[in-house]
Amino acid sequence: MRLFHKRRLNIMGSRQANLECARGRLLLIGSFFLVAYIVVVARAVDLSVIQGVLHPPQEYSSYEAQKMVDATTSEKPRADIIDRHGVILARSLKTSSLFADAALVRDPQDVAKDLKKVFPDISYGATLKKLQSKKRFVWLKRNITPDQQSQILYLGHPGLDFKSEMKRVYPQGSLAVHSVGVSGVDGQGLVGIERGFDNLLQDGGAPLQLTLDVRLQHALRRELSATMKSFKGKGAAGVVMDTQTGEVLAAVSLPDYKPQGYQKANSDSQFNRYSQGVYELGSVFKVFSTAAILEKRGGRISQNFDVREPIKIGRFKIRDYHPENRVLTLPEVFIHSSNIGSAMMGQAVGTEELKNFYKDLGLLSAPEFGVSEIGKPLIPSPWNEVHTMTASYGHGIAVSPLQLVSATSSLLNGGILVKPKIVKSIGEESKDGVIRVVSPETSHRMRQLMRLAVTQGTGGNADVEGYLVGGKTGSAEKSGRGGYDRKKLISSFLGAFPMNDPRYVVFAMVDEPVGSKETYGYATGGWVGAPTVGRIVSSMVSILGISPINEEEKFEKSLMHYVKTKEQLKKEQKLASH
Amino acid sequence: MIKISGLLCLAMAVAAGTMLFNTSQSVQHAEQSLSSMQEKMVMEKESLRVLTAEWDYLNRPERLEKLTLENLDLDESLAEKDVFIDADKSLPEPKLPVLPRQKPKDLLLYASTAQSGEAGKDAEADRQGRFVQADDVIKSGERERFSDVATHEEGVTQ
Repeated sequence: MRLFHKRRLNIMGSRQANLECARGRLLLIGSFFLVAYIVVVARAVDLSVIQGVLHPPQEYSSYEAQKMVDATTSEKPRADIIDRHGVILARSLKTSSLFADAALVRDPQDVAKDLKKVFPDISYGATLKKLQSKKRFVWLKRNITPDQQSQILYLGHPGLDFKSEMKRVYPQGSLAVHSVGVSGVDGQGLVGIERGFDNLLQDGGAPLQLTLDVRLQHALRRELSATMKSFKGKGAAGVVMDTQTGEVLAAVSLPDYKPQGYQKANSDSQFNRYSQGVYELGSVFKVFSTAAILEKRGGRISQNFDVREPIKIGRFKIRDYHPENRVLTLPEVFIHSSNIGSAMMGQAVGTEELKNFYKDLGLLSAPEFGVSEIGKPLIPSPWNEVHTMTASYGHGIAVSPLQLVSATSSLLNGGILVKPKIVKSIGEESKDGVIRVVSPETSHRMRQLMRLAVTQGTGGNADVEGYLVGGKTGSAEKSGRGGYDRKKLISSFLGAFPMNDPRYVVFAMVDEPVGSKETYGYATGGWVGAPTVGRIVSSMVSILGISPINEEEKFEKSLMHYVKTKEQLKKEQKLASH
Repeated sequence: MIKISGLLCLAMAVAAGTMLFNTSQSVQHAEQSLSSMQEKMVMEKESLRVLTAEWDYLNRPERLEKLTLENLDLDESLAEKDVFIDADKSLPEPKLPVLPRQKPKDLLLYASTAQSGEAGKDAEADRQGRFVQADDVIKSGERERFSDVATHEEGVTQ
């Protein structure tokens, strides 16, 4: 460049001074551009070689993409709740809501007419009033469908706009509403898991997986509501639990409500009967008192109990519903559900020991559970001998069905304590926390006894051929003003199957059932709970694909020596009368 | 000389400018398509969320049960009719005990040499040979012997 100028200057020849000045300026400008060019080149090298090759920009694309995703979905949706197989129980969906800037609406009547066509359920008058209000922001319709949104866009009226909102949907409706719970309009959990795990769900991470199985949940709910209907019960509850893990596979409380109608539902429907409600459950507790005496040193299966006379203690009198009026063996006390016999067992075990045994099984304290509604058990305080006796047959102590089921699981799984669980745990749990509550022998005896109660005792209606259903009936009188009411019962059945190695505990309970013609006026556990559990079990085996067991030798055979069958009793009566 | 260098500079400047313009245009295009694709992805994801929720809504056990009872000739519960038990009984009893006819003396050899290629080849050849043999056996009507050989072979392949 300089050469170029010099030559030119020489050629021109005249007005030396002016040209010198111009040359100086040109030099200045030229050098300025040179510097600028060097800066550009340096930056280009920096970008392409230093940053481009030596520090490859890996994060560029994903970072930008994330920024865009964040920009489009301004807020992270509340996490999903799914069942054990991934079926959606709760999910937040983005929906559009229609609003108007009334000042910009040109022809309110026309717009209102068109809107009425898209949303037949809105009122023309109210919409017109809103559109004529000249307000800068009026809601016209919340949570509209994408189809409706495109129709509005197609109409192309100025002044109408959309705002996206999150809406919580529950595809399963009221199926597991007491467990899953409900969250409010602002995305805060109000009840159930939605409340218990509110913080986790609000973080919007991976879906929260529950231990529930919607198919079993449906089977349980269907059978419970059928029973509740036919016995005109006030309410019902049921739980299905895995004995090995304590996982709740299904849990129902009736009456229930639709999740979207939570605010309008009455308190009776909102009440969670399976975990919040505590009840004196009656004879099903004999499972625990019998286990306690078997577990006690010297507790024998061949023990006898004289149940001919009611027990009088203090102002209480303990009597039997179906008096056998003879000396019963321990298995007979259990299968005929003798209150007197069970009270004697409690006495034999001793107050402290029975209390500790119940405590070990988790019956005396509220369990830790994912659902936020947890009922605290009602236990006698102070606990006297009379309470030991009543607690042996399930009176004077009130626990939730959930506690009952998890305690039974611990008894039947071989004697290892399990805790009720509704959220699937991530990863392996440490094995060092194994707590034994009863010996394997006692566990085996309880399995046999519960099977015997179905084959020979009060729970016959629960049997499902090939699946060795075992269980214990319960018919507890409800306590009201001035003592117990013989007409108001809580009838239940605590079942498990297959009894040779119980995998599932099934509990069904109906609050205040009324006997009908078909049941000869009975509304006790054997008539209400047992057939319900039988039906639930037969649904469960076809849902889960469990094959029947070919029982070559009766599982409860070794206990049969201690039990007099109906035929034997009839024979004895005949002999006596001769 | 002057003209040549000047023209050269000009041409280079124009060429550089054109290239720069092209590059910046293509970058802009790429960015546009990227963002529109990402927008589409977000929308697809959003509609997937809606559709899976709808799918689970349509597959409610209650609804499926109702549809099954209405449209299929199935019973509510198989177990109530003891279908499983009957099915279990109707299964044919195995006719013959599935045991090798003779003591598999070379089984250990196969197991120990299965890793090395040479021995594996040998085993493969042997196996094929045996199947030929087995086919012959079937032709001659000795069915049970075939089953013996086949079981034996399964043992080897494991």
